[in-house]
Amino acid sequence: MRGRGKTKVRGYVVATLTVLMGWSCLPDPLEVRNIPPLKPEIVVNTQIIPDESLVVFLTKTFGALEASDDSNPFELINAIAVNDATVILDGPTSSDTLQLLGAGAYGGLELTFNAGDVYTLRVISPSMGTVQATTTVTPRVEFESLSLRRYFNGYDDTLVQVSYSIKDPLERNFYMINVQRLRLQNEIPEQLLNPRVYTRVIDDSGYDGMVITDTLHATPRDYAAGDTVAVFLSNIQEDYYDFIKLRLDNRMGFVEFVSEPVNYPTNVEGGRGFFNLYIPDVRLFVVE
Amino acid sequence: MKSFMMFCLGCVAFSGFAQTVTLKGRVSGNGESLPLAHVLVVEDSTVRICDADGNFVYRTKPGNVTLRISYTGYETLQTTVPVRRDTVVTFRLSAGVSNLEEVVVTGQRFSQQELFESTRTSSTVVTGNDISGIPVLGGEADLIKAIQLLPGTIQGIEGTTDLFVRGGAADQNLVLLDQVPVYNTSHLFGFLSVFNPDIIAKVESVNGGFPADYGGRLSSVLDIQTRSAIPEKTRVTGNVGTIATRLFAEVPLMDNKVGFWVAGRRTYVDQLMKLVGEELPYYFSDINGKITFKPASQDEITISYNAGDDFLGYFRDRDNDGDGITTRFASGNDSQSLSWKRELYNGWSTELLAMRTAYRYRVENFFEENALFANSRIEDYGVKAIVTRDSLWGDSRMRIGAEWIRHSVSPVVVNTAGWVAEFLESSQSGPRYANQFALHAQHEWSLADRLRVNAGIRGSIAVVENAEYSYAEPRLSLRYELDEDANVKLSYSRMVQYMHRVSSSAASTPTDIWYPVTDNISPQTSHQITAAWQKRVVPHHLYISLETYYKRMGNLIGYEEGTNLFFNTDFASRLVQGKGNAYGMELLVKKEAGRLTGWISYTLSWSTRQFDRINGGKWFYSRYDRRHNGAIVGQYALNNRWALSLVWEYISGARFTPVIGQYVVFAPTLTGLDLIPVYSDINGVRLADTHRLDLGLRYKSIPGKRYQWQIFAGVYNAYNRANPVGIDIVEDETDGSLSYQQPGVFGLIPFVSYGFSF
Repeated sequence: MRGRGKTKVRGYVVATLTVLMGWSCLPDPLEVRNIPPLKPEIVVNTQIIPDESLVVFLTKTFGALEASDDSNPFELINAIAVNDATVILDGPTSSDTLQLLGAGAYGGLELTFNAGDVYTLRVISPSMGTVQATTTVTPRVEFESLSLRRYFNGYDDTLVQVSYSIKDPLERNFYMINVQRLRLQNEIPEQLLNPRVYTRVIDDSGYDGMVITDTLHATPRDYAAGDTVAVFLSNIQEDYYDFIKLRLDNRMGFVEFVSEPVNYPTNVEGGRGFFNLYIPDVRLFVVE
Repeated sequence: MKSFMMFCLGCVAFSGFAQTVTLKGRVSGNGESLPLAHVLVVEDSTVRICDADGNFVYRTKPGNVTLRISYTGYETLQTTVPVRRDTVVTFRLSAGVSNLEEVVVTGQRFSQQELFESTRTSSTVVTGNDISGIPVLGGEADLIKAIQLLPGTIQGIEGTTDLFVRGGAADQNLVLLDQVPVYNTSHLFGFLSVFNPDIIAKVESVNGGFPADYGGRLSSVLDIQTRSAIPEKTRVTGNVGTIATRLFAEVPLMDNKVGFWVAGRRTYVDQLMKLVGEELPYYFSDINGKITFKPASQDEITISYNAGDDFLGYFRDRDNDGDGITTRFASGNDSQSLSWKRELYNGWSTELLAMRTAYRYRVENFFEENALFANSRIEDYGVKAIVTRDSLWGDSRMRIGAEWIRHSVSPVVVNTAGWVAEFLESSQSGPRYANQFALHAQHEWSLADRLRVNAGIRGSIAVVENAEYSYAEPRLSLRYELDEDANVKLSYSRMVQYMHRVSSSAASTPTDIWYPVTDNISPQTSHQITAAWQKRVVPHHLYISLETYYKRMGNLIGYEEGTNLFFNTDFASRLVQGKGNAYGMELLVKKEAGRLTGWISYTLSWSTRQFDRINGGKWFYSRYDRRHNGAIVGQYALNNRWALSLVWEYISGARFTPVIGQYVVFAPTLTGLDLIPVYSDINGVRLADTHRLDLGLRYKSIPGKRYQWQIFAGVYNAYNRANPVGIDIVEDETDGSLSYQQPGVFGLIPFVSYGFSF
């Protein structure tokens, strides 16, 4: 009898909740028609190649609806590459005009970058205007020790544990450590847009001249035996450090509507992106 | 301070030697008490305002007392009462209205009367009927939802209990529950306020023209007074709704010397789900209580206790192997107060209050060695003393007071372990203490035949580590009577705010942190002027108010762009300060009696901000700069058992900062490209307008029986309109194309509740 009563109550509860849920409905989202136009700007990316050359990659800003993580990266690059620019690198002893290599990439060979030298990059594009950026070559800093092993975190995740030490030079430095699994799909990296790179930044205040030793557990969480993993150490400029830190701070902006917007900093006058002159220390490991 | 306390105590002690008698009166009409009726004592020109049950007390020398008692909709009664010993009299007013009164939705009517006759501007009284009579989300009567429908007040994200008053931020509202500040006003992650509607006697919303005894916030004061009358008999009421169930009981003790009430509220869906073998890992609960002690006719001592908690806790086992992650979230307010009010001889009265209030939250998230613990707490202790003198120099009134509050703040402590620590490092922002003092005085008098003035000054001081701030806050209100039923008013207020809430500009959350001023963070300040025209149309029980205001705000709190507030213990270094302007016009037409009651409100407003380190230093519109804001709120009594209610609200869209573009940068490892979003100017896009219709139908049991019940059913958002909270980018699953859209939070939601009393 008691059991029948309980079943009856349960029936009422299920019926009531079903009716209420059935009545409740979520309205269709509304269209958006008043998004302001995006001002086209030149975006600068640079990288020193250790054999005394420099690559400058010029693109332009594009609409929020034109690409996502899933877009074809090559089609995107072709669409946004700035190929009509004159790119000039002014250094302490010379001024070089870089050559267009294709798809927005401009290169210069036999360029010797000495730590502490100040360079200015000028970009003159008939279609996009003129931008310029100035930066200082940072000294290369290497890992003093580095080890990597697979790490099971106890919750079905397999990470890699990276233990490292860095002998910090006396001057003020900002470091960036990156860990990335290198997998190829059809001869190209598995995810060209927004690759999953683990990043940590270090401000050496408090460590000046000391050895920085630490251990980190790097995501993503599905490392497997045989994976090739690259670990990078870069000695970067403070403005680029601020940019990366801001990116890291906002990686958990999961509550999109209540997150504060971010205008990311740049060292490019009149444009976006970064003019960097650093050489990373790169080490490769095969996960056991 | 010490001298002031001695003065107050001296007044209290001295009164014991005076030969006085007490007249206790009750004002009623049509068989029911008339709350807030005006009682003018002709001999000394003092005014008594009846409490929620129509009671007043007057102490005098033995002799005749002539009273002039008025109440809108009733004929004024002037009578002389011989008071040679303690006397109790009931005064019955004759109705000056039609018999329609018999089917009116009853309650605390004509509440705007007191404010109409005072020098106050920008103030509105909300009654129990206003709160419980309107259809709201989930059917759970909610004070804040009623306040949001008044002019000058704008809600944040749909359904939440945030208030944005006259261009201010959500933390610029001082919410007082029986004079005690409440730091977290919401349950259900912001969608329901913490105030149990059963305990509320009267709520006053003040948006400008602040009297000198109010301070500490820039934009508004929400003064919530709970029941304090000793009931004549034991009464129990309850309500079972879609969201929660409530129970309230009031009990008289010791022959009208002592009375108490206790109220509780709790969600129950979690318990219902258990019955069907499911689990809903969330509940909230409130408990409130108050003891009123009247040892003598001139004394009233009350002890209040209020507490409320939210709890979310669940265990997630992804692989059903017994190993899973445990998540717990708990937050809660609690407050206690002791109040002693004393009516002294010849218009003097004193009020003393000692109080404590606290808010805390705790987050626990752990699996084996991986853990995240975060907690935050704010706790205040304070005392207030006020001395009031009615009929000083004829019809004037003086009120002076002092208060002290000690804030103890542990902003946020985060402990992480395991791989969680890779994302969020353990950190701690040290505890902070702030002492806040204020002295205030105000004097109200008739400067000319039709011109009445209330002039006041508030001196406030905040003492924190390494810094001390002090401000003079002048207040001035003028009332010029055009005729018996119309007036114009003008007011000026300077306000200072020493406590800030660290939260997103879009919405408050339970994990927001209250933080005092520091040596680097100055108090927020404001100047506000208001001009008002008010009219009452007695035959139609109408009250009309038209106001304009201009508010200039300084040292407003903002955050450096990109500041992540998620368990951030270093938020203080990311705070920036700026300025703001707000101005607008507000209209309120309120009908407080008759078969049809309710109000129409409309606000036309502008609100802007400027921070040197936000938006390139350019002025921008604040998030809740909503140009037009209007509401129609109505209750219509079909007869003495059936009543219809309706709310239609229209608000211009809120402002939003969408992603309008992007660009690519090399990934740090040079193995790809990262997409970086480009945002519009801050709050550069206006969302679609918000409008919504809520309908309710109430059916009551046959009046006159001991056990009374009612059913209230209806729908929220009757035409299922999406009222957007932001702009999202979504991908079409079929062709992968991207588009913008504005999703809403709630669609049509039915509700039903059953209430009873005996």
